[in-house]
Amino acid sequence: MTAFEEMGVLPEIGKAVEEMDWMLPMDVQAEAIPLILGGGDVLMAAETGSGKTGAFCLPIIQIVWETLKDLEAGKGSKVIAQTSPHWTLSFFDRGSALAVTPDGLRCQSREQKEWHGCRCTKGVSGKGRYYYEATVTDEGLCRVGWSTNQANLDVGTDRFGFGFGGTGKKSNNKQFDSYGEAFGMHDVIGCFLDLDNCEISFSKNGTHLGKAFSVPQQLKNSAFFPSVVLKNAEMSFNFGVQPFKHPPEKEWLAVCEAPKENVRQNEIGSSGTAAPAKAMKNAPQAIIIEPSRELAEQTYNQILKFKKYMENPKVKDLLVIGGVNVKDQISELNSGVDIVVGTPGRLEDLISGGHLSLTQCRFFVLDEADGLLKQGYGDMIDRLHRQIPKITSDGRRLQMIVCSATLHAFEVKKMAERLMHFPTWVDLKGEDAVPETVHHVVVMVDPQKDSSWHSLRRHVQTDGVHAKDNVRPGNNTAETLSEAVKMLKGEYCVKAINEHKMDRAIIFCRTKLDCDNLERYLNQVGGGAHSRGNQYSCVCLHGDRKPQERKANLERFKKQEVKFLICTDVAARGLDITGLPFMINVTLPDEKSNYVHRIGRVGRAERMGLAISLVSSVPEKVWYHGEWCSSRGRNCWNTRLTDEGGCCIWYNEPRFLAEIEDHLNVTIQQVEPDLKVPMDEFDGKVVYGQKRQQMGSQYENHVAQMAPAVKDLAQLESEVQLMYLKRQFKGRNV
Amino acid sequence: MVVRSYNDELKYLEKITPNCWRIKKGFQPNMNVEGVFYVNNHLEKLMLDELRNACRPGMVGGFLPGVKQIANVAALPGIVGRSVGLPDVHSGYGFAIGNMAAFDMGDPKSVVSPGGVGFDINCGVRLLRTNLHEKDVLPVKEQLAQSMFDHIPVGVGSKGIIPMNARDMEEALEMGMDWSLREGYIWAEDKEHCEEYGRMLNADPSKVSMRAKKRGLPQLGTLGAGNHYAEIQVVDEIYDKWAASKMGIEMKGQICVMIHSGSRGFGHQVATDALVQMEKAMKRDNIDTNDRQLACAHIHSTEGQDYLKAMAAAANFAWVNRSSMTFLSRQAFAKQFRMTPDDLDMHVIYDVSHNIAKVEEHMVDGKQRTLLVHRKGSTRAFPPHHPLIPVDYQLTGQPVLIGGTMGTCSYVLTGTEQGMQETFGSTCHGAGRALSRAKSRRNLDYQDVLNKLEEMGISIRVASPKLVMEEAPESYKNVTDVVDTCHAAGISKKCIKLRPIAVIKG
Repeated sequence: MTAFEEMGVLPEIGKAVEEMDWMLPMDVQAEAIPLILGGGDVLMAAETGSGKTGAFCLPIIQIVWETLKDLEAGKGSKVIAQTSPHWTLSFFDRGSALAVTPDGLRCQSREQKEWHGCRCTKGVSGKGRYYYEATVTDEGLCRVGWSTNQANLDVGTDRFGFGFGGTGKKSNNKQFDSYGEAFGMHDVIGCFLDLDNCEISFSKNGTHLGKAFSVPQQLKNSAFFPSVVLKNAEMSFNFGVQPFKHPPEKEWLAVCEAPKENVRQNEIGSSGTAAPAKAMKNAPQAIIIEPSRELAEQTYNQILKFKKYMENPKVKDLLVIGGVNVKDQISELNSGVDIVVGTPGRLEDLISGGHLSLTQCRFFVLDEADGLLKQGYGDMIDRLHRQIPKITSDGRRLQMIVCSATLHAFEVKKMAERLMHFPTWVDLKGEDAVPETVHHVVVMVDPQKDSSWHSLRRHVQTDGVHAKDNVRPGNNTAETLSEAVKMLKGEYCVKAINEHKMDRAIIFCRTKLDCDNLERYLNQVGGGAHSRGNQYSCVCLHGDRKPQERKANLERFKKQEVKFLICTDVAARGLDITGLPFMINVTLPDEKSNYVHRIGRVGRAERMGLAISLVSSVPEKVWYHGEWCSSRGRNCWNTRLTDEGGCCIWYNEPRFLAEIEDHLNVTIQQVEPDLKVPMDEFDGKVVYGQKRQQMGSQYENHVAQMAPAVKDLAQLESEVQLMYLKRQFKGRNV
Repeated sequence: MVVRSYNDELKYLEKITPNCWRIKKGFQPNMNVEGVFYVNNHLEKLMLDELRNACRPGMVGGFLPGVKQIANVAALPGIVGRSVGLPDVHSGYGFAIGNMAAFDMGDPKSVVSPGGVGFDINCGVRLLRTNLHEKDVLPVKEQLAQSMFDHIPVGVGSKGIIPMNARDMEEALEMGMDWSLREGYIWAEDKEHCEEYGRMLNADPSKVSMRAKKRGLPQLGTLGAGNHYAEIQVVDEIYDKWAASKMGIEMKGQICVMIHSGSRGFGHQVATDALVQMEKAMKRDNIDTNDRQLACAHIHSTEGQDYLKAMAAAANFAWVNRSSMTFLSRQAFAKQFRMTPDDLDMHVIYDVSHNIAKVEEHMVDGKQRTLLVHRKGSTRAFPPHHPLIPVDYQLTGQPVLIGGTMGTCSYVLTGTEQGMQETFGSTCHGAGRALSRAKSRRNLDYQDVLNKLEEMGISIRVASPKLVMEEAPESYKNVTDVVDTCHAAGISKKCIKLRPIAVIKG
């Protein structure tokens, strides 16, 4: 048995990978394969060459094959054959872009252009008066009502369906007439079916809207099923198991209480064997998106190797990339395909052209997601995700797998939060721990101990919060100390640069204004922005600068034309700057995870980095422009506190420091205001920005020290065992 | 692999007692010693069926049946005695799971093989007792199961909740349960009832790769998925009243907690790293094996020694892991019953390792030898009076904990003199797979599995339901068959039977 098979991988795949000389799974494979086989969403931190392709391809090929096998054996709906005695929306009798929750009581369609509908698992016929309720749970277009099993899922567009739409129209046989009034979010629509009098009517929030339709004679003996159709909307249903919001009068029965002899099963999908076999050939089960053609080809080639021994049925795959004749790809698609690997551009062309259908998709894989997002495919990913049904036709949940070089990239996390279903992180680098390649220290800025601010010849221009507060050395008001901190931080920043002879660093400020002020100050100290010998050459990156300037500034920093990059958290997101030797936090972030992000800027790729945070020991009053500030900070001089309707807060850095330490479960080393960083913890020969010699926690174990004792103990253990053996086996010739 | 017809293969197998078969030399090439396996009628059929299937035309390469794997191990350099297959044997990576093999430390050619220990180094079982009775627990069973589930981090990819940084882990790797004790997670007497006192002294964390440490850190203190579980169990039967009372089990209906877990990704990485190293060493030292998966190195080579030191560190990891979960289980019980774990008498009865290699003194052909005993899916079972078992069990023999599969019975056995002689003091470890994971995925439906457990009155909490089918009782051999075989063969003795009432799984 190969090591892969021990994880539950099919022997056929095990054999194929063994031939590729993969004897042992890589760590990311060992962690991720069981998770994906187990049906979970996985978010993995893995780079090219770490074995991640195998980590997601092996289980995907296996599940796709298993599904094909099941379909072949006619047990397509093995997992959830809807034989439940309850009235629910059908997982099977539904439009491809409409998703039904596992409890069958809520449905959603995110398709913006087309209508997608769904019918109930049961219907009523014969006689009686029946009622159910539908509630609009998300804005969009919707129509509910009753239809027979002959009806189109787009209820009301043929003779067999009777619907009431959100725009206040009733419809049957494509005839839309005004009826009642419009409805929308949170409105509860009651649907009445009176088989005794052959009438259909509706109510809105308990108000009966009068007769809508007479059921024609020829449909009198048909079964009527609760029906819904949506365009980019969501509705939830109550067939009577829960108490109704607006209970109808006594003679009306909840549909779920209909007498047995009047209940009809919805044939589609109910018997288990009748699950729709893969109707469409151009609907793959897995879609793998790669940021580049080369990566797509690589992945595709790996899949070919992995599935070498997969027979009966064969898993068909297709590479969809630009630069290849699209006609060939389309004809391949139409001949049937199970796994599609592609680049975003061509994939979207094929999908929007209707050549590739997403209706059967059960795996949505984003490889190198950080790359995809950086290239601006975020919207497209969202769009595709919206179109994929969240529950497959055999009742399984869509599985999403995302790989990224780092999981700490803001966009990746954000996207995972938005699209993925409780993803498990496979992060073998560890989550939210300070990388071992970062030495991070804190220096306390205490204006009461350090009085150098009394007599500064020049200082950084402060943010002006205290311009009218009569601050002056000696009066020791909170405002004075706050202003002092602002001045001192500028000085400490320069001091840090000098002390560590920083020639390359990223400097984080809290606000755009702070960035501008610091930029100006550093240039001033250095003898002017354009001075050749400027030791403090710097550029600024924040939201108020024009995109072009930002790009140019970033370029200048990357090309090392300037030494320092001053920026805000927001501007720094997604910046790819590796191996920085230094980082300065002029102000701690109020969000602890941002601290980790910031720290991640230095010491990457096993290069040592030093991060210095300037922490004020006293509260500092700072700008805090929110939604209430009409100009969002531009020329706003309202220095009242936010709870008085102003735009300032008192910023408590020691508290944020405590939170960060708590979060990281470490005590961050504090250094003196001279900013000398003691070298003892590291080997003293650290050069920040250089490859670190030795990895590890620098823990000195006691192996050598204990060796003699361990040896003695082992000897003792051996002797005592020998004594035992002698006693036990006495006379048996020892 | 020698390809012969099934009938020809059978000529190499001989039933020597009702419960024991001999595998003669020649069954596989280069066998240095004979093989042996223990079965009853039922298990015998499974075993031989597996062999018959492998003999069918068209079955080439890849999959080796358990018997063949036992024989391949018998061909390793330096092996002494016999290559032993326990009743729960089933095919694994290189060595079958449920295979015991001992190598003579005095022979310079002898080898150590990571495959003979398994990927989940020091995977094992721990049993805690309580002074509660089933009737105390049944009314709050669901709450207690939920509380256990909430306390114990489960599942693949889950993170430990006991605060731990890189340095803590290095210490834990070095100190094993002494670390847990120092940090206040366990009681001093817990150590007394563990193999090796919960610490392998030859552990050397510096022999462990950075990759393994990074992978292990977030997982320390987590249950893990796969066949791992924590169960609340009830004493269902007592076969040996005296031995049971030595373990603090006084009555039927008494509540126990069983924890089955190992060294998680850490051990996996240690094993993987060692296998890669040893492949190179084999070329250098000209070691030949019948199967590439049996990568090994001379015990006294650098690779061999490094592996043993790293393995010891992984063993310590597993003990700390089980200790952390012991702590969390005690907390869960204490909260539910508003009594201290002390007052609930939640002592560790014993803690066994069933994936490990140890240096032990044994008799081989009437001569005393120092052996490196590999036990993969096999539990140490030392007889009464053996010096390496705790004082409390000197007269009963070592308690052997046999964890059943999810929802089936578990057993406590004791070691016997006969086991010491026949199997170097080893016995079975659990039920043993009957269906491969891949097969059980396809043949079983997870909802059915869950429903069935519910019908049996077992509360179940699972993190990843789909994995449940791989661990369903149907995927395994019958643990009672396995235990009865060991009892009948005399290699260990039945003492207590336990039945689960709540299962927590990854």
